[in-house]
Amino acid sequence: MTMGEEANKASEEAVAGPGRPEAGIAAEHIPALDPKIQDQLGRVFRSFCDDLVQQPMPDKLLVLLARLEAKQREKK
Amino acid sequence: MSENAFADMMVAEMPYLRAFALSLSGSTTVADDLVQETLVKAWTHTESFALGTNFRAWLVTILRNTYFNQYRKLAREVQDSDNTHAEQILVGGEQESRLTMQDVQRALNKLPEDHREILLMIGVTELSYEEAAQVCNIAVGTVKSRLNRARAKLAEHLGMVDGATDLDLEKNHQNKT
Repeated sequence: MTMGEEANKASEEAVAGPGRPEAGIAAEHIPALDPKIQDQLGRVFRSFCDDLVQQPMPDKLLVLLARLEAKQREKK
Repeated sequence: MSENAFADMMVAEMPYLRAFALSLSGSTTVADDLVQETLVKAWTHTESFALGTNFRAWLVTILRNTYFNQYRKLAREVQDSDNTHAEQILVGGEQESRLTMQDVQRALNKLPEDHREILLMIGVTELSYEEAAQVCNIAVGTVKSRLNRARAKLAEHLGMVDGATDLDLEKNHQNKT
């Protein structure tokens, strides 16, 4: 897929909004986790996710963003 | 939308994008390349973002497609050796588990990719089921069933459930044949 197609697909999907038909696939029944395990997993996974989001941003990504911004301003 | 507004939105979403990239690929190197490429693509296709829709979901779509098209193979090769983001930090309630971020990342790496990505879209980037369904182009029911499976497997890989279920299934299978 080219970059253009990919971005178009992204926007198409973003535009489509909720309410996509279920396409006849019923959610398979999966035995529910024991509530105690579910709680434990929930806590562990939540804190994993929070820690990940709080990781320091590498300089190279901040520099790239600043460069993209500057280029955009030049164009005008 | 002005470029400044776009840049501000991008800065706000970057921690979520990078967190998603880290946990999806299991590699710092791959994650940073992936975020970099996503930033460039998003920046050069600003016109394809539809105002009023979820900006994060749009970025996640670009990142996810880039990963599956270009980086998945590389990630599989490096994820075990290059796991530096997952440090020896304890996660969750300390007294009940001695699990570290590294343990959780290793367990995530063992999940099938189409299950892992759903778990991370919901958990890390906090997309709704509907948004995750749109990003992956699947039905909402499929998102829910993959999420359930991913959770069950993750609990198992983290040693929270004993492996009895798998063994029982194997036994049943052997009895039948």
